[in-house]
Amino acid sequence: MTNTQKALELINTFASGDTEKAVALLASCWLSGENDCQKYSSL
Amino acid sequence: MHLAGSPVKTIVRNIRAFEDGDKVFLHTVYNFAGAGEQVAFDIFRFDEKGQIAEHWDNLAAKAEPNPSGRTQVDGLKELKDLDKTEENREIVKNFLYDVMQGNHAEKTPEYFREDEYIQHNTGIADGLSGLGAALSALAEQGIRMIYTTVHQVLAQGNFVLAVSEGTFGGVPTSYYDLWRVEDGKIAEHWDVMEIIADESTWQNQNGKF
Repeated sequence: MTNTQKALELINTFASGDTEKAVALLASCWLSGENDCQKYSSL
Repeated sequence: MHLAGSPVKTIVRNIRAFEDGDKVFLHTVYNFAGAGEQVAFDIFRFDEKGQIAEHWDNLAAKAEPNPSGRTQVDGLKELKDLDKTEENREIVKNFLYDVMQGNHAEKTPEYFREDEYIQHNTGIADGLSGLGAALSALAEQGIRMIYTTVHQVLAQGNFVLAVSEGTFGGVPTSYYDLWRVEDGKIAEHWDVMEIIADESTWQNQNGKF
């Protein structure tokens, strides 16, 4: 899977709620530059 | 509670997706749990294991079509000129320095093919003439759009995304500008501007940029 496909899979988990998939895509050292982090903190 | 658990579904509609080295940049329309459509640019950085390690974004409410009838997301999508990625990145870097940062504003016409400039900014009409008219109108209201720092210039083929910091009307602002470059000239533009939230409200301390 390309990085582009992974990024698209991640944003689609915002709609699907597939937490397991989202966690699998994220590095353990996840950093977010997002100031309103709700969509990630809820994963 | 996950957004997907909300009574109103979250909708994600990706419009454009590009890749530059270890980063992916996306142009997407979101509607988070029925809160209203927002246009976003997301950047994701991948680590050596191929996992997503960092994220930046700008979001803005979806607006009505601009004076030329264009939306924040319509327009050309075709990715091409992969062999011109670095050339196009350089054109946009120079455009940012010369024009957007105001170091050589007199060079502005050199970056365009006459008045051909397809504009997706919500308040600006097509053409270099449209850009000039909008900037003049802002100046008459005492509003200045200032680009102080360019943080990232990502490119793939004919598309280049710049992440910049500055002020709009004196308010700290984050600028995400996506330009399409065709035959060495800037041809089309999409953007999302976002006021930089006060640090006291940040959900993390990584910084906006």
